[in-house]
Amino acid sequence: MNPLRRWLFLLTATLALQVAAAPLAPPFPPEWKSLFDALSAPIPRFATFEEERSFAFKKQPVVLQGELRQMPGHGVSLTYTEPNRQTVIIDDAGVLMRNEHGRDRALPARRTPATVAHLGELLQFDVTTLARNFELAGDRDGERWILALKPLDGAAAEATGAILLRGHRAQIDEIVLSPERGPRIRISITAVRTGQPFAAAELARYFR
Amino acid sequence: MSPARQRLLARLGLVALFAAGAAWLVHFARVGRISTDVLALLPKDEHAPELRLVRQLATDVQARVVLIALRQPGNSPPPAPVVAAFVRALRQNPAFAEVVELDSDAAITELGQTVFAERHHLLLPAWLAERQRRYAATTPGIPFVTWLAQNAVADLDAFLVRPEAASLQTLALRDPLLLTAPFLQKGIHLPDATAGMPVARVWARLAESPLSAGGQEPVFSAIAMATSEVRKSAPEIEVLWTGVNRLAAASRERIQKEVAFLNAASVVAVLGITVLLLRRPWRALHLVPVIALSLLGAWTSVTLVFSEVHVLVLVIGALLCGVAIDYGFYLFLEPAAGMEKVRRVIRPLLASCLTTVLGFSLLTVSDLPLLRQTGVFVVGGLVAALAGALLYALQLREPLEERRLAAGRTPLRLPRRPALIAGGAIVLLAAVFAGRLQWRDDIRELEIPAPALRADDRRVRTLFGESAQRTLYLTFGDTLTEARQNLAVFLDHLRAQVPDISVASLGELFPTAAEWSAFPAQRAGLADFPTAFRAALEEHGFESDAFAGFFSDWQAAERTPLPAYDQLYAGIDAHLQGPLRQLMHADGSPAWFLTAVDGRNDAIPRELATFPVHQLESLNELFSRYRRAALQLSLWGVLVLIGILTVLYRSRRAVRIAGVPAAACLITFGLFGAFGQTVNLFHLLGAFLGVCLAHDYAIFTAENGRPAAVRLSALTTVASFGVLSFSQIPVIHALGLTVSGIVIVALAVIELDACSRRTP
Repeated sequence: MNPLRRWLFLLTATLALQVAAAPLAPPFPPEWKSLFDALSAPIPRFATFEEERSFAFKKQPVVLQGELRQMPGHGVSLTYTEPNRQTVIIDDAGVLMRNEHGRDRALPARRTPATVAHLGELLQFDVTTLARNFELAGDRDGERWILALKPLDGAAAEATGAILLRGHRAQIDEIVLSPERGPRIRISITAVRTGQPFAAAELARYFR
Repeated sequence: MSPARQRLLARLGLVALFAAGAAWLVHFARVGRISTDVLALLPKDEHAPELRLVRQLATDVQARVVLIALRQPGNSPPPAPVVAAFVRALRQNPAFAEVVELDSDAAITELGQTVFAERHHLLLPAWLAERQRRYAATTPGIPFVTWLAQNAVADLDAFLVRPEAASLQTLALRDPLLLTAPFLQKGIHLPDATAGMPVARVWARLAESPLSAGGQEPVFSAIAMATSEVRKSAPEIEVLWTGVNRLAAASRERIQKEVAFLNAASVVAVLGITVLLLRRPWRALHLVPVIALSLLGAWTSVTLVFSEVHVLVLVIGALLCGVAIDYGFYLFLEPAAGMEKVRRVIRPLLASCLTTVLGFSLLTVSDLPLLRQTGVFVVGGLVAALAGALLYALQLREPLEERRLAAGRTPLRLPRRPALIAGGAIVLLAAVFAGRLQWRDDIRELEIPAPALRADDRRVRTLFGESAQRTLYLTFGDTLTEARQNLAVFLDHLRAQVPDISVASLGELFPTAAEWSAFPAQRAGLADFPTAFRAALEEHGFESDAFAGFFSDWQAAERTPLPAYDQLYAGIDAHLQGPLRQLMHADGSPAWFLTAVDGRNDAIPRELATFPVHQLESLNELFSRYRRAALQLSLWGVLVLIGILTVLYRSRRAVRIAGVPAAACLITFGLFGAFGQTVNLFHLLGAFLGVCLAHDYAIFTAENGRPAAVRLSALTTVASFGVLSFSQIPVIHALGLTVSGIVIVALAVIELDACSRRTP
């Protein structure tokens, strides 16, 4: 799908969601609760992703590719493989950036940019924390589902803006963030593999 | 002169001495200072600049800092209003000059805003200089301004694919040259390894020295009051804190308690010996004025010479009793009255006192304030003890009388030659073991142990993120210009070794003086840069109009006159708060910058004017150097003693006298070596005192031939110093152990020598 068609699809989906989506608040309806439980299940996950960053001052989006790893107790690890190799680890201790030589640069939790913090909550689907900062609404069409998260305060609006999650079954396919003060970010997730634990060497390489 | 008149004059002399000394000490109590600061024992004018700076850093900068951690049960930090109330309570208290909540980003935000506003003066010169170097190295064949614009846009493009770019879009719009981005990425804050710790941290700077009264009790009560205040709304809040003032107050209390106990125990031990060896032992009270005058003389002389005296000198000084009492015994046991009593013992008395005084005088030329103060203290005390003993001896109508136990000859008989051979073998064996002595120079030996407070200190510092994974380096220079240039060379050196090394230094915010001098001409040559940059942006797919903020900032900066070089630093200095203020010293000489580097890299060439701030190691090195200097001085002192002995007693007798302290010292250190006792500066100082005492006994034995006076002196000294060897304070323990060891061995040598001489 070319970028224009993709955006048109997203726009349509967002508009449709505004009309059709039902507001979601705890306690969640059983069909949503089972989805949220599946999304937040503490199991190892691996996927590849493509990230498009649409900066306000750049005519074309910047495209990055990488691998996503999620491990209970270790957080989320995003390894960008193209155009440069960089790893971003989001865990309870904050954010750690690891360059191609394996050298780390850490930001403690309290200095973690809100965009990154919310991205970590999304990928691990920490719905309790998400519900504190966002108003949730969702729609389902068979196995496919779409969730819209509307920021409840100005800080979340600046950091992530409205968030759109698209997926099928217990898998997130796409995340779109539209922060007020940052680039619009679209992350497409593919080749998801769940339940296979990472070897010790892999854990050391991709997590803190 | 009649004996009555002699007594009257002597009495008047004693009263005059007491009155003068007491009057001076009353005056000193008002104007002088007794210090408990370990660093006050080290010289202020240390020759090595790095050690001088470490000392300055420790005393003037770090010592005034109090670190406070607030926490509550569970895994979340205390609520922000509670922390704010605590900080507000401290700020309102005059005991604190500055209070900063570290977990609030207010300080770093204020600095960041100032740096951003001044970026075209602070950061542009170095950015331009770097690109000019690259341009000169690549010779791309296009004008510099065009190349610069292309290069800046290429850097911006590369930045957009970095993970952190997503959160820096607003910054990139105003600062597309990315002058400030490196600082936002790596931070210019203090080491911070506290991620995930559920605490709120407060950094506070004291208004007064932590060693003064104003830096202790008022601070303790201010923290206690702030704690009670916040506990009204949050009763479970726990407040942990540490500071030099807390440790100093604990040290002072501990010293006061321990010295009082040890002195009392010493007096009991001395009295026990006296009762055992003297008839009518209550007459030993005649020795009290001599000891009192000795201590008064010592205090008076040291406070006359030094405006600030360390408490350890006074502790060591308490040991002077052991020496002062000797003169009393020598004089008061002499069976004569008035001037006749004085005439009989004046020669050995003068010989022993003056040689000891000369020996300790050498300590007064030491670089180490502790040794200088001890030298003056002991010399003053000995002279006063001698004067007091002589004047008081004239008051005594009857001598003190020893019991038979003290005066009797030892029944043991030893054959002379085998005794000499055995003695020689023992001394040789001792020399072998003494060669195994382990010197341990640790500045912490000077501190008074407070394990609970130390544990608290470590706990709080861990909460504040102090980490062994990160090294702090201090780069210095006589001037600000020199210090900044040295920093540039040091950072180049680091980056040449490890290209992507993680380095954070406030100094990098400023251009070097050379970059600043070149900047006006460079800026004048950039008139076409905005046009070239706009074109390059469009060419690389950017919306150049989106950068309107940058172009207007650029024009405004071009119109702003450039400040003087020093003003760049003053402008930032005014916005530094709390610990950030400790990252550089730009106001005065030497100027310095601190740099935090991940990992340890100690191999820094000396010419870089940079050293790792491992404060303890630096101070230990200093301590070790002074120990070696003290050893040299002690050896010179011993040579002076031997020289005087040789003049006074001719060679054979002089050798016999000098042999006693030499053998005693060697055997004692041999025993230390054999039992694995590590030794330091204070064992050395104790040995010097012990050698002087042993030397007194040897002189009196050779001159006077009355064993009772020597036994009484030696045994009372062993009793008092032996008690001190049980002290928990390392310095007192070292002195007690060494002096009592040497004195007891000296007494044994004298007794065994006497036994072997009586063999037919």
